Amino acid sequence: MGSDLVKMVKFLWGYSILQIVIVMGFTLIMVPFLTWVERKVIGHMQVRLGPMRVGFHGILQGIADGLKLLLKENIVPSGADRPIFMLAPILSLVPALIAFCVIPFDTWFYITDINIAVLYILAVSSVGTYGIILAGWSSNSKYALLGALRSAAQVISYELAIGMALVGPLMLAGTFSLVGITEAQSRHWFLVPQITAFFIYYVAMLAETNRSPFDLPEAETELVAGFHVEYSGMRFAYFFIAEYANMMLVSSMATVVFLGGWNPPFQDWEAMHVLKVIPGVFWFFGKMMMLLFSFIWVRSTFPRFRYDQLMRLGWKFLIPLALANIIVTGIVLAITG
Amino acid sequence: MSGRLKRFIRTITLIDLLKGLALTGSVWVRSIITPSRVLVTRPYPEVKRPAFPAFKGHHALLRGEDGAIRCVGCGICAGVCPAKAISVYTEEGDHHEKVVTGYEINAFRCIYCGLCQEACPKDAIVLTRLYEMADYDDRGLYIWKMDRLLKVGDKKPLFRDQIDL
Repeated sequence: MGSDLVKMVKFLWGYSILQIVIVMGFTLIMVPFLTWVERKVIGHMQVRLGPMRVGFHGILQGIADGLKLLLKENIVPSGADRPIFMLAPILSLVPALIAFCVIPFDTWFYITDINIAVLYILAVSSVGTYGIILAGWSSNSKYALLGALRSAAQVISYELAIGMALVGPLMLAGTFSLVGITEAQSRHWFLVPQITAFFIYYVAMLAETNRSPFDLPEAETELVAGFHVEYSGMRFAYFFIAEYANMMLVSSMATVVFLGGWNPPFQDWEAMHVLKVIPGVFWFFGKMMMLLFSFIWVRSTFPRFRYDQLMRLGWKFLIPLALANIIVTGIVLAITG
Repeated sequence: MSGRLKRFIRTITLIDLLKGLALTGSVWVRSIITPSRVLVTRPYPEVKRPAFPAFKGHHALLRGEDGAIRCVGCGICAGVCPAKAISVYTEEGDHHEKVVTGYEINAFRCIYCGLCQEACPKDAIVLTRLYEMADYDDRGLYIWKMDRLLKVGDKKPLFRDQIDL
């Protein structure tokens, strides 16, 4: 494509604003769609039909749920710390959305390319945890507090694993910029040399987004709904959107760092260069959707971890494995130059 | 030792996790290809579950070939009913015969045992396979009167292969 023209257009102010609108809109539209997909897929895996009423095979179910939540009353518990209680949902939603600004969807479609993009995403997504902790703290409810405490411990443990798992690919790419990492994978993906790191990242991202089998912060059977038990209406919806936006964010990160971002697969072989006919955005979203599907698949298959098992897996298995991966990657890089 | 080695290999290859994923995955794929053969739930008001042949549901009073009610008001059903859900009201007619003027079933008391159907000498009271008894009316209407029971009895396809009419 005419790269000069693209560069010129990129410098225009309007283009970034358009991109921001598209990325934000897409993320927010994906949330009701994802909830529908999740309920439908889990339903089918459990030999049920799933939502069938709203629209064709229930496809508008998420929108109906969203409208319902909009119209519901916002209840603040009488013992709650009011300002923090109202701040917490925003604090968990906003980081999940702003992290998308460094995700490169295609060669010509990313809002910005900063040279510390990976650190930026790690930092911003840790801020999202404050939302959960403050929500649990301010609710004045024992279930919410227990959920928040669990979430805090879990996220601290698994953020280490996520950070260390990302070091391997970063060493191979030699850059923190997500665009740079994607370009470094134009021939072969980091999935192959960094399969261990991908495994660690995958497990840790399930834990990081509080998804099953690591959904201890909102374990229904023990804590009713965990940290958001006291929330209702639109504030509850914020947590809900944040959870799904975080799912999309970690999936995009895995796509960019391990699955080659916008690059088609098997680019080592000349014959596979025909795959470049399909635009990079489609490759990106295809990979992202596959990861999101695997989230749902895992949720419908595995039972929840016990708290001590969760901690043991994180500290005694994933983190040593990640360290070993870093060392091995470093030695191999030192030998091959 | 070999047992421990086996367990170690199972753990390190995640074979058990993959087996679980394969099960749910295969159910999902089959449910996409042939939903009706895999999924056990059905969208209820559109697709109704057929009742089994011996299902005992809503009561019905049947008519004879002349269109008149078969019930002769003997009251055996009311007597045999373990829940005392049946009341039969009779009067003396113009030619000194017994005329059934009222037949009531308390749907909340009835236990759907089917003893009334077995006891009836005229095959007048039967339990149909109709199971949709919920409606929006208040509780008073759960004393099912004769007209309702006759109306159900006129919907014969519901139990044609169950009762010899």
